[in-house]
Amino acid sequence: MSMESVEREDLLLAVSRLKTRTGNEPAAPDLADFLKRSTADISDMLVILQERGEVIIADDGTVSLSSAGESAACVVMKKHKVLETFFEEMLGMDRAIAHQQACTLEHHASEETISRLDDFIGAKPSTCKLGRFIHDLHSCQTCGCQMLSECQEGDTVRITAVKGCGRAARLADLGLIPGVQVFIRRRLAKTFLVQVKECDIAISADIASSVLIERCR
Amino acid sequence: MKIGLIGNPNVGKSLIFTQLTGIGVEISNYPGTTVDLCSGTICHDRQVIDVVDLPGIYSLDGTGSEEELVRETVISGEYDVYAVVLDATHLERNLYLLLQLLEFGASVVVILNIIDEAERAGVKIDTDRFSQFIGAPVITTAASLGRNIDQIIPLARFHARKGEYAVQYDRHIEAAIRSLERLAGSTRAEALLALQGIGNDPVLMDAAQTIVPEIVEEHRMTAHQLIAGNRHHAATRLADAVITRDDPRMVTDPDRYLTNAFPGIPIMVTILSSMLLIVFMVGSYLEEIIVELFDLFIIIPIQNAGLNPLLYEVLFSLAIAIQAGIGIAFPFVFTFYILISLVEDSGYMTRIAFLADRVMHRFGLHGQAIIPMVLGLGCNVPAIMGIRQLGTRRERTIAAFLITMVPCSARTVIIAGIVAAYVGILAAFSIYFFVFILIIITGVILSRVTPGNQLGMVLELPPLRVPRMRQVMIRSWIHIREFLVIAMPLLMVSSVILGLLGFYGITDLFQNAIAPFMESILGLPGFASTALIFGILRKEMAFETLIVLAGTADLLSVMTKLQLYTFALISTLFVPCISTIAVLSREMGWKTALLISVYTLILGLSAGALLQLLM
Repeated sequence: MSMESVEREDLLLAVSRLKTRTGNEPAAPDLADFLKRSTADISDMLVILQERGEVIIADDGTVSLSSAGESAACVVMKKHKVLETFFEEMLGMDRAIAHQQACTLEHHASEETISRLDDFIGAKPSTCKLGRFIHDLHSCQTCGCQMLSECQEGDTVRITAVKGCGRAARLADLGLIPGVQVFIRRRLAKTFLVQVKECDIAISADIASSVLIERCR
Repeated sequence: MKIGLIGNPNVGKSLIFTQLTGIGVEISNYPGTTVDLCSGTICHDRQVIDVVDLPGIYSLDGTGSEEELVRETVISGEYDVYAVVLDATHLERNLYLLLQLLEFGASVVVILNIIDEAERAGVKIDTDRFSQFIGAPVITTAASLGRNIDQIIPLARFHARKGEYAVQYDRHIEAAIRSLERLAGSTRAEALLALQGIGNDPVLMDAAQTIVPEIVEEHRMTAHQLIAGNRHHAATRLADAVITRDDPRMVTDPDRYLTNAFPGIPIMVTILSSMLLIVFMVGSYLEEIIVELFDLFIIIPIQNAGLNPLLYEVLFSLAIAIQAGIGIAFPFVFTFYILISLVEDSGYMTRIAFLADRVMHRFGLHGQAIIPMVLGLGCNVPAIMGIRQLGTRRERTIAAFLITMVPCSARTVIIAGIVAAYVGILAAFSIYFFVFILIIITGVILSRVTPGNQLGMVLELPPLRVPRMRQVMIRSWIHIREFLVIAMPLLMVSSVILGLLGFYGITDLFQNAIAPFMESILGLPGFASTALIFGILRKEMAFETLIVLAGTADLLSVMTKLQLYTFALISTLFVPCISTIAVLSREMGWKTALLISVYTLILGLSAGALLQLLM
């Protein structure tokens, strides 16, 4: 049986919280009560966690966190607190509402988005892809979106998106960011000389193909 | 009091610096880095003021070594005042860095440089308004005319302010900043850096890493792009508020010619080859004079002093190392670096990078890599240190291989001294041609086999400007310093080792073992092989040794033209000198250094053998 990471994190947190609250190690029924799940589900999940070495189930059925489980719970708790603060600040919500929101979002924040973020920022350049990002822009492609590398000398274009890998940070610092208008001064083979904010910037072909543009009329 | 000059590249920062400090500029590496810093001391109203010319950067948020260095100084408050040099002709883009600096709460004065060109282009900047907006003093200068430079120091001493200009960030970023301020007690500037993945505080970085995915999810942009976008937007608004434009006068644009395939590429080839020709001629002429003087005043006295043989060997080896070093350093390396600094200072080097970009892509490199390769024509050592600027390990590996093959000044000495003198000037150039072809072939092969990935080029092409002599001299000195402090000491040590090996007869043993191979495969006389082996440790020694061992300066009487040509070709190609190997292994690891040495050894020997077969 597999187990979602959301459930795992919830369960780890529950073990830790009940221990702090009551001072005793909780048993499966206590946890089921706390998480509003069936005792059978919880028992199954606890077995998996035990196999992973994150919880220790004693002979009397009480559950405690192993040191690995404890550090995992600690990570979840920290994340929870940060997101809570962030949403509170952003939405100006009161604490209770922010708490709820953070509860449902905290788990999704990690793996899926972080792997995409890696693609995005180019933290792992070898896996640098337009990925889902280009997917989002697919509709845009059909209505005249192009890559900078497809432009001709003398074109004036507007940047719509920059693939977030490799030299994206330098491009952004030089003012090549979405929304900015760019004039193609020179195209020599596949190397571009573009004018942005009155400065001339030379850009290689590989980088020009990571910049999406739309034509200005 | 310490003043740091900060600004984008090509805003005339260094020119202002030299005008402020006059003579007595000190160029040093920033501790723990390879970034060059020029510093100078001025006395103003009996107060000692240190002025430092920080490296030109576009942003304080970058991860390049220069950006990191400048950011560190800003965070640690190393300078009392930052004199922010802005290019008045490109104010909007330049404001980006100023806004960042203001966020850090640094004390600043703003110097609007190149105001003369801005005026000519019809750009008027309302400095009073500008100053009110940012809450810090602003003056206009024209460093090329020396206008208002004398007002910089008094302004920085008495009127510098912690300016303020609130950049309105996206609401997610603002919320994130407030969260981080609350959670980790960070400042606004620290929080912004943390959101872009920069910082040391683990609590802050953890919190930022948790928030960033939320922001990215919302905007489909990296946090850096979002923050940069907001800042650029603020810069545009500020620029619009202070700039008024008249109709600009039409100016001729040299880039219309320089960046086009025609006539851009012929112009580039002409410039580079005439540079080589000048170095060739001036170098050979000066070298002769220097070597003669050395012989007369140092070498001959040592030979006649009647010293103990071991001491004599050590002293003699040291003396000829210094003689060779200086004989090459000043005539060839220095001439070359002065010329190349002219090219760099004028801004033309970036045009070369632009033109070369496509060809360099064939080698798995990009346009910027041409710069260290051209520098390699002077001395490979500084050129290899220059490859740090290239983005990835793959790019650095390929560049290291190719630079090592670029014929440096010491090899120019061999080519000039042997081939040009005894065979002919065309033959001399044909060696350059062959090496050039081999570099191309090597590059193409390496781009196929080297693992890793490449980043492309993003390079600003600054407006072309007339180079300033002082700037050129400082730049030349930066280049030649690496030759003097790294290459020269190694040359001297290896010369002594070589001398001792000869003294104890080890060289002879080696020569006897290898001579039959040299004679049968390469068709070279036995003594030439010793000269070649000397060339492993010291390139330029190959020529001298050849003359010494041949027993005559009239090489044609003992070797044929083909043999001389083969000798020069092999020593040009094979095994970099000991200093280059040392720098290679420091920069790239000993494995790469070994690989390059073996590769060039095989290349040199096969080229010689092939020549022997064909002729």
